[in-house]
Amino acid sequence: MTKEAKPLVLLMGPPNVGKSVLFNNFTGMSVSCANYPGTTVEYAFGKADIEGTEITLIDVPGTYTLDAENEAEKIAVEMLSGNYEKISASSCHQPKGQFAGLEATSQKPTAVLCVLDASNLGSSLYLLLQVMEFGLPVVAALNRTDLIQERGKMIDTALLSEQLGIPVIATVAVKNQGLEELTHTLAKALNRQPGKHPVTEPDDSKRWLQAEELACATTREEPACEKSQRSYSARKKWGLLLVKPWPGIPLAILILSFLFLFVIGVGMGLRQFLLLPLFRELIIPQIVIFIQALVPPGVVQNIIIGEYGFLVKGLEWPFTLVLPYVISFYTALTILEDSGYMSRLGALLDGLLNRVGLHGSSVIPLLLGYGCAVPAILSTRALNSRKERLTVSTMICLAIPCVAQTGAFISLLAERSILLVLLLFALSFMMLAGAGLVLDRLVKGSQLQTVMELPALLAPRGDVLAKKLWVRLKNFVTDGALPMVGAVGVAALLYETGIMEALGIRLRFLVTGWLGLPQEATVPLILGVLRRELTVLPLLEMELTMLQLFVGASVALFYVPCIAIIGTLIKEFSIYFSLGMLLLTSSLAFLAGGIILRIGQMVLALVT
Amino acid sequence: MRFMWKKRRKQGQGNGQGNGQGNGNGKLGYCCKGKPCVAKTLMQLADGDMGVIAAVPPAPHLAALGLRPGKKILMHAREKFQGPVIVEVEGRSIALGRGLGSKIMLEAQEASIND
Repeated sequence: MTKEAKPLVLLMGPPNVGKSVLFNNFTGMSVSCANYPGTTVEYAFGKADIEGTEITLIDVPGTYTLDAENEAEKIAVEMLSGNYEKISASSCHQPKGQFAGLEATSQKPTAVLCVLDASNLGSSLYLLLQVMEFGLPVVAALNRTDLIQERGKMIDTALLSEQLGIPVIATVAVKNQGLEELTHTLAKALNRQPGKHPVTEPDDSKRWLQAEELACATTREEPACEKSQRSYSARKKWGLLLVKPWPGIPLAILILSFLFLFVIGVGMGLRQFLLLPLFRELIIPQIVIFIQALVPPGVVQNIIIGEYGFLVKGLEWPFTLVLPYVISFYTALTILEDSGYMSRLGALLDGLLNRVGLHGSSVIPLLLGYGCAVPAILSTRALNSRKERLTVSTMICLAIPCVAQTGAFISLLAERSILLVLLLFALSFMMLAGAGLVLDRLVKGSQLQTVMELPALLAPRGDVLAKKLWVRLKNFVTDGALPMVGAVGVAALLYETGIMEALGIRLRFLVTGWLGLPQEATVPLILGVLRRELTVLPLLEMELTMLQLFVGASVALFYVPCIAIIGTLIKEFSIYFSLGMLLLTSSLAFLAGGIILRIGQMVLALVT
Repeated sequence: MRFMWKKRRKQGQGNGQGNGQGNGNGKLGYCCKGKPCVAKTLMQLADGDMGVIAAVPPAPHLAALGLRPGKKILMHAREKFQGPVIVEVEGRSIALGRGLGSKIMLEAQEASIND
């Protein structure tokens, strides 16, 4: 087999311009897209077929300039120069193998597809001019042209292309407009040597001047139709109202409470009326009958369909307890992400977050953490400083329950009293604030000034939402539900072989003595290392008092992050950081649990 | 750290006019024509008012976000809890920390609201 080097195309542009939407369109993959700067934190690789030529496309995280002012920009410069080895050595983020294929092939990218933001042409052109200085063939996609039409302007792409000496194609990536022409142009560019382009001097102020002049010369007034004008001014008005302290702060409280109720309400509804009947009455009984016919009674049958049987609890827990909340939570999160509201919420909270050494942009990883901590910790890469990354990651590991755990908490506590759920979330907020204050003093690092772009407020599109939700559900089944079935299998094995009981006796002083829980409660503490929600779910099967339930839930909330999170922490930070996190979370969980038990006992004694 | 907190709170109290730190009225700045002139800082702009940028500190990304000399800048709001200011340049909304806001100099004359 001959090893012919596949052409390599870099997809570059300013943050939040729609590079990932184009990437998904070209490669048929589904890297995450959202309406806030810094959605892409990993360099996604994909194969794309450009009119018969197979190319490797790289989705480079957004860069405002190539001045190497942050990590993403530094790496973008290295990629343009073809120094992949340097990147894979310097970046601890990437698994080693990721760039291996590239080193074997071409050293320099074949072409660059630079995405321009039509609504901020001057700044985009500055980046484009910088990219062009690398002397590679460049194709420019002028994206978001729909947004500028609404403002009563249009950009003369033909003139722009002529002035720049490179092809410029107008696109609206989310609506698939202009993509065919873009593919066609890219195909031509691949077979062409870099064309003549105006030689720019590598001087920042001259480059700015040139970018400004170009933007000015190619922008025309074109009165928009009344309908789009109205929608533009309405979106602009709302975009402002949502970020001004008045009425932004009351609106934020309203929006967040509504979303909280939506997630819990819809989740409970889905569980009660759809998924629970489906699994309890249809699927699981069939499996039990089938296994009973196949496997003789005994240890093996118990492991499969016994009390903790992995085909009974192992199916019931992920699909009837967690899946409903995965659906409702990710619906809410996707709407938040695509509307552009997250950054506005960040701006509103920036002042408060500054008190704990964070910025408004930390809102994004913190909110993502309520889904799953792994993408949340990855998204901290978009934060400004290492101090912020460490603080936010610790807060996520310590006191933000993932969606699976939240689902488990709701089934455990809401059946007794919805107040317990609220109390638990209040406890979580207290711990977050406390952790923030302590970490601000412990972690060294200077506090930078806030600079955050507020993306245009956009109404989320139904088809985009549905697609994103589908990808997330698929990921839940493969990365969440299947490992959970396995983890329950391990539990069943430990349980049936008596190992669990032996461990229970060892840990009795802690579980029964200090936390006041029955001896079986050792089970969730051991399983919790595998999956976060398993610190909670086994408690469902025990006869517990209200206080015991709350103590169990609090311990579970603060307890060690799951294996996947520990792996992510090792990859993103260091093994010492992960070990420290394990120690911190487990000791804090036991400490807090014991204190809550004693406070609860005192309160109960006073009441009765 | 506790000391810093008190300091921050004090600033919060004197926030009636939304002043950042260290911005007196006649601070020397530079107009886009290169002539030194008496200018005010972004923080002295009242909510809803517009100004023309004269000088921008060399902090990352400011230029790329449109904060460049000669650009019209519209002050939208100041966030609570000593949070950032919300400004608009070239139709793009940006949240800017107050410390940066007090370092962005505006030209002396008022710009008209109509773009």
